[in-house]
Amino acid sequence: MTAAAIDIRLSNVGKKFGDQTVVEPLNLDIRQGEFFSLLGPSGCGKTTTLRMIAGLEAPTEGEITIRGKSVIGVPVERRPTNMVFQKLALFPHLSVFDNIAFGLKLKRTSKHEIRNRVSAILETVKLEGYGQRAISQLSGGQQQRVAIARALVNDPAVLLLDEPLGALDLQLQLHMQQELVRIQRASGTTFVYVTHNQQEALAMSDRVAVMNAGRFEQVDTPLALFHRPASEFVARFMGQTNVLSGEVTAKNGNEAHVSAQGLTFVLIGQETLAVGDKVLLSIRPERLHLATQQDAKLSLPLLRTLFQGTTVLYTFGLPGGDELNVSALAPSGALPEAGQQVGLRWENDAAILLNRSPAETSSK
Amino acid sequence: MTLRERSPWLLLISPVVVLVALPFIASLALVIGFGFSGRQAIGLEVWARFITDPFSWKVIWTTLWLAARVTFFCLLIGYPVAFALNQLKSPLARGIAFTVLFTPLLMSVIVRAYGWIVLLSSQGLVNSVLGIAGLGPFRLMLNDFGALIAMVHVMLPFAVLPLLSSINQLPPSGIEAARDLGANPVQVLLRVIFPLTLPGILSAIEIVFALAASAFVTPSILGGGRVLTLPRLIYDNIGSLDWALAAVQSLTLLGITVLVLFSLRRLGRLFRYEGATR
Repeated sequence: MTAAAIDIRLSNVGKKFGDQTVVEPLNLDIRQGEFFSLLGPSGCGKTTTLRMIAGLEAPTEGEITIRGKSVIGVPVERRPTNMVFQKLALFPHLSVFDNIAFGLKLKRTSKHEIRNRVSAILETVKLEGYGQRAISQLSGGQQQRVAIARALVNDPAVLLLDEPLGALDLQLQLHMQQELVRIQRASGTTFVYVTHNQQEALAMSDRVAVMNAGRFEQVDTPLALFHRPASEFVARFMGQTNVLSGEVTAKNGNEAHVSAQGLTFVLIGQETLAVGDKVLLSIRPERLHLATQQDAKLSLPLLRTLFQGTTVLYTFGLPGGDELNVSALAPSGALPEAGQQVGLRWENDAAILLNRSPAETSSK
Repeated sequence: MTLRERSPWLLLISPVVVLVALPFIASLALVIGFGFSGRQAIGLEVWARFITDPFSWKVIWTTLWLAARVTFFCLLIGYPVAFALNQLKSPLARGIAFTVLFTPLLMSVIVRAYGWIVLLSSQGLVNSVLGIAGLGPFRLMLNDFGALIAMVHVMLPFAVLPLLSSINQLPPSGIEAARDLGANPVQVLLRVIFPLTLPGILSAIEIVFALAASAFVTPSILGGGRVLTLPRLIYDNIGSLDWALAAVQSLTLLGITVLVLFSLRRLGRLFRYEGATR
């Protein structure tokens, strides 16, 4: 499999409902065998995009090609895609076996082959021996796996998944994430996965498209999204972060020294920044540390603490009125009291440049 | 559950027992009593009289055939109507649609029947309009057709309600899932929608058939004397004080209805997947 093989190509694909634009014209290549996620808040257009690929919605403009062939005008039942629905949509009147065999029977596959393929896929999703169960006899996680098997057994070019883990409890979600990755690797099928849960997208995906208001904010690997968010939106969506506005105070080659509400950082590889430029920075809570008196760079009043088990989230008050979150491993002893002045330290490269001239400088 | 735990529930259903079950059992006992004794002293003689009379069989056939066609047309019209109602999202549109559908039930059955006469009689609205076009007049009432159309009108809501509730219970995105798995619209209907709404279809058949087989006023008024059904015959026999024969006919009607409903129940069980037991 070459890296260049493209399974899905969106060319200026947009969708309007009436005069409301849900998806702005999008361009995207999804590679063969890739686990690709569309990540964004509800209403960002991610599900609509997925449904356009499936053929459940028609784009108002642009072209979708799957394995090089345009699928515009091809009805849903004739597309080489299969979908795992958010609400599963299993058929309650059929057994597990007949649910999975539904697509194969429609294609007039021989009985013998149906039996072989269904039992093979039941093995893949670890439901051997469950073929004759009724759907109502299965747990949520088992139903989930039947829904995946029912789609995957048809050997689609692309498997589309619409927030399939949303209804499961956290333990099961984490387990099913690992299962999904295992199934995807085992089948080699291209997965397009829609979710609003950044942890899910980061944990499973090869690449993620972060969507906001019908547009892609950034299409990148999970690591790049986390460490090099392209916008304030992406930085905030990758989990709790401190977004601070600051100013370039000094320039030394391609190193820019910035100051943000008393915190100073060095940004590397910033040839175009000049002294006096306004910047917007993202500083992740785990890049800031509690410090002893000697090595503290700054001392701030502690507003409150949130004990989270392994870690503690400390919230400090900045002179400008904003808050600053710091995440640290929980101490074995007592937590510092709110109201105390606590010293902080950080590495010079702890900040990420989000924006050169911030339009709005809010922090949370 | 012990009796003590059950007693509040027994208390709650006691009005049903008093109002429905007791009178039902009492009158049934009475009818059975009449059917097997009656004025003719030996009941079986009345049964023989009823069974050997070819007229009885003709009436039974008329009753069943009329009820079957009413049921069929109620389903044929009611199924798409229920589907359309289920699609209506705006509360206003739903309100209007339900009002229109259920208006027949707001009127007395007599008023409704005479309403149909205004439409269907030889000088009625339909024939007048057709007359302008140079057609007719057609005989639209005082016959089988008149009874049929008026009964379908009355009983349509009883078909739509159970259909609507089963259509409402279709799994969300089930239709889309079937399409996505390669089913064309006809296959979706036959393989997913029909089996999943079968409980509603069977309930609709049960209710409409039972009502249609025992209907008296509508077939009497719009069928005139030409549509002789069992309920009509029972009425006539009570009028002529042949209570034993009326009782025999009542039991026959009850027996047929119970038999039909029971068969439908069994039929419904064939289409459900209960799952392997282990």
